[in-house]
Amino acid sequence: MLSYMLKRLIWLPVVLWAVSSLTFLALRIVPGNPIQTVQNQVMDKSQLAQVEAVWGLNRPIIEQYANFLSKLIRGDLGLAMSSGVPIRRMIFERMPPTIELAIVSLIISTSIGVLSGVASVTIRNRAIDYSVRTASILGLSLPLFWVGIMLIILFSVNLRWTPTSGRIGAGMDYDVITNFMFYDLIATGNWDAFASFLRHLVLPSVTIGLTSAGFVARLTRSAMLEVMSSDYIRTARAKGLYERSVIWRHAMRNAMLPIITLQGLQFGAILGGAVITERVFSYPGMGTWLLNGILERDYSVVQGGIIFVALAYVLMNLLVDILYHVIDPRLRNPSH
Amino acid sequence: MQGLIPTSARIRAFWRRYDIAVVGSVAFAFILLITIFASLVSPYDPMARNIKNRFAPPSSENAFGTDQLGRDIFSRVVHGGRPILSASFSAVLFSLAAGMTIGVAGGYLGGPLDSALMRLMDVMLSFPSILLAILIVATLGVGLLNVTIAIGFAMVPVFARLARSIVITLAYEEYVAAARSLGASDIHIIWNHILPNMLPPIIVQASAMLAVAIGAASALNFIGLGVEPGTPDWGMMVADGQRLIFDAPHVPLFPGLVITITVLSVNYMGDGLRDHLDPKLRRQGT
Amino acid sequence: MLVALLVANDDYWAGRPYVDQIVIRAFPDEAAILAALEAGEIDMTLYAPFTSVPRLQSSENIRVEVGAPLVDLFIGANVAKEPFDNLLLRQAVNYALDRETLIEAGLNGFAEMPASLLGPLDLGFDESGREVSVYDPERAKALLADSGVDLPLAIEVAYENNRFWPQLAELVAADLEAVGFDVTLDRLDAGSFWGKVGDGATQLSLNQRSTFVPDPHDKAILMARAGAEGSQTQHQALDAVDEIDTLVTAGISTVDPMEREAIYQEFQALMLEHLPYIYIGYLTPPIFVNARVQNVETFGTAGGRINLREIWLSE
Repeated sequence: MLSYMLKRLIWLPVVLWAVSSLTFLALRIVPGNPIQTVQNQVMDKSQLAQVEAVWGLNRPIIEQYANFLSKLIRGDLGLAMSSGVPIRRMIFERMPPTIELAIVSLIISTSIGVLSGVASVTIRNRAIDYSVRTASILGLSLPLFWVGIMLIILFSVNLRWTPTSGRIGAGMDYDVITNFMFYDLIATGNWDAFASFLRHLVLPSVTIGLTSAGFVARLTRSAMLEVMSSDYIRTARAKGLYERSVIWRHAMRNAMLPIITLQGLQFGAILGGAVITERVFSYPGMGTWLLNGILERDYSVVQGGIIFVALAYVLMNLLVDILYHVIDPRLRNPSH
Repeated sequence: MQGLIPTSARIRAFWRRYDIAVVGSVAFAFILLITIFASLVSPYDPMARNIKNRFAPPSSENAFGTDQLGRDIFSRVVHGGRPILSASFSAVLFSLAAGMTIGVAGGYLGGPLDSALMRLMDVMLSFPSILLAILIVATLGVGLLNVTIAIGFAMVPVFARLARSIVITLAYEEYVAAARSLGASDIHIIWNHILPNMLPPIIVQASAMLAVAIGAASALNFIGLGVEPGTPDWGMMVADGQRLIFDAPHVPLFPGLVITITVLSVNYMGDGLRDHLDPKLRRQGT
Repeated sequence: MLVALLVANDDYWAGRPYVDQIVIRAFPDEAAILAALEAGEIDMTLYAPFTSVPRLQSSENIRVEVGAPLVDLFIGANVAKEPFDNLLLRQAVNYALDRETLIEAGLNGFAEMPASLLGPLDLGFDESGREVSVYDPERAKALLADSGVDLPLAIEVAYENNRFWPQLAELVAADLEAVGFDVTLDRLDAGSFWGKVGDGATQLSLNQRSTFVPDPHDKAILMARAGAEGSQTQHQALDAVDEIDTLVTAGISTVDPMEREAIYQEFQALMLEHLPYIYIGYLTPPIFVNARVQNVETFGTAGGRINLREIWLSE
């Protein structure tokens, strides 16, 4: 297991290198650079050349690439070309909102998905099974951006329960420590701001959670079906164990494996969904930042953003792998 | 009368087995037909503005109401499937062809080529696919063709991995070994023995990916990376409608509903196909 | 997000303002502004969607004031580049615009019909420009035919992806396509839009111009040769650039109002003759205020600027 983990850890920088190199190349294949796009009205050709020189955009691509890699290794992501703000500061501003959104969405999608998936198999009721199956295929089919807008119309415009957009009320005062509001606002006991934050978070996370719960429910259901019909469960039943114990202790433990594997993929889908969802809710996270960076062809923003998204995704999958090994005793056997 | 009973029983049996698949396929075929013959179906020109009749709620004249320029939303919805459906069909065909080529080449030939290809696929998969598609559009520029390429490209690893896993299993089957010992060429073996056996799972996967592609194409059009503003397109119409949520919520309602119904019908069709073509999963009915 | 806090100056030369402080906040989008306005969280904004005006006008706690017609909305034609270096094509665009519909559907009626670069409140405003900025699609088609270009002529229209611009752009495109252009819409965020316009990389751009001081020179100076680099129209390429330059300088070389009026009328005529700008309307922007806000002076130097010193609140 340890050697496997090590192998995975070695793979991590390789993936990050590949992702950042592909991004670097992709941005430079096509003509046009960010300075040409974002320069203001007063810049003439010689000033343009000067600014390009400052950013090193007049150098050969190989040299730019070497420079980019050597800085990256030292953890230097540079400055945003459009605003001159350090990428590191932008990541500090933009990453926590997206991680909070992704984790809350993941919790919503997993709890709804797993519970309904288990219910559809274990409660022997055709109506429940049928509703879960219908609801989950519907969840798979709903366009995220449209669900977001419909929720806004219902809960923000008509019922006025939640705000239409943003991360926290415009009138809120609060201290930024980690920029994770779950920590900052609780640590400082700023409950008014925390309530406002939750009211802003609920619709975007429900939007992502609901649309991805269908996938989880389908997988849970089929994993449970397979496990429930196995000899192992028949033996457990034959031993006279309580049905609840059979389901939660024995069946779930086995069904957990595919579900956990799925969560790694699911996290990627949620990160991708966050780009769209953040746009719908004008939520100030990585998604809106990255999308604007892409549209403005701001190389530093796109590179920095993509590397961090890939990092989050790869780390999540690593975590999933570790969990997998912890839960599945067979994989702890050195022969595997 | 009596002669009908066996038939209706057969229909009932057929229905029990394929109900959702039939509903899905019929609904999707219906949507495709409407999209193809949009000009015949739509009551108005989807671009025709009627400034006096803006934001009209659904009525007998305008089944889905009118939008901010007084255009008939029903006519726009009828025409609005063309960009998304053509992009997603082409994207699936592209990724299918590219993915199968990569998967079969890697799996059949093995060796360093196989590892290199699969590592490349891993890197592509190590990235959320919608973000990958957005990045590709960013590189190529905004436009429906580039959206198609981006989605197709992002789905290649899915088909490549599936094809490779099937090839690896089949390559050790006795009939393949027998063909090889009889001196059949690689091309012959792949064409006559591997591909036919590969088709059912690939078709199942392609229908699942078609649903994904329709969702992705509408999302990319929604965020403004695809069709030009003003084009009748489901994703773009929802985007335009978002500005009107306070004053005319019916504008974003209908195009989104139609995307949902379309993807739902493809998903049902895909489930049916899987039950029918993939014996391993049959009757599990997830 | 708090952007700025303005505190009353007790020693202001014209007297202390009525309100003690004004908080300026940033919102992520129009919907959030509108929601905050309706919830009574903010007292004033210019940036609620125009489409919401009818509903807000019937609301008891919100009032919609209408700004003075001080902002020019126009299409800037890049005269340094094909195809709009051709005057006939600029004229064709001018006559293709159905301005009544543009104002009604694109701006929800919040504009007056245009004459030229100077507006009805400017010194030397020349009413006769209203006869040039008219809708005459047949004439537009004839001009296109005279120009000898192959039809439909493919062109690009750039605009900002915010406020009323997208809707206005779609309407403009439809008008232009009706006479024989084939329009590609280029929707850009504000930064990219100004970058592209300043680069001279656009063909037609949807643009606006207001003044910082209440004098026609503030609008005319933009057409001076010195300001040509990076302007909306790259107008250094106009034949009349010297003539325009002379007039712009003459306009501030005297303080005699009669003389200046004559100079600016000649300036407007020259602008209409060469049409680097094609006018859409004078924006009369809606100003959304909470009903408790009194004495909103809408006659600022530009429609988008409000004299906050005069405001007071009723309780």
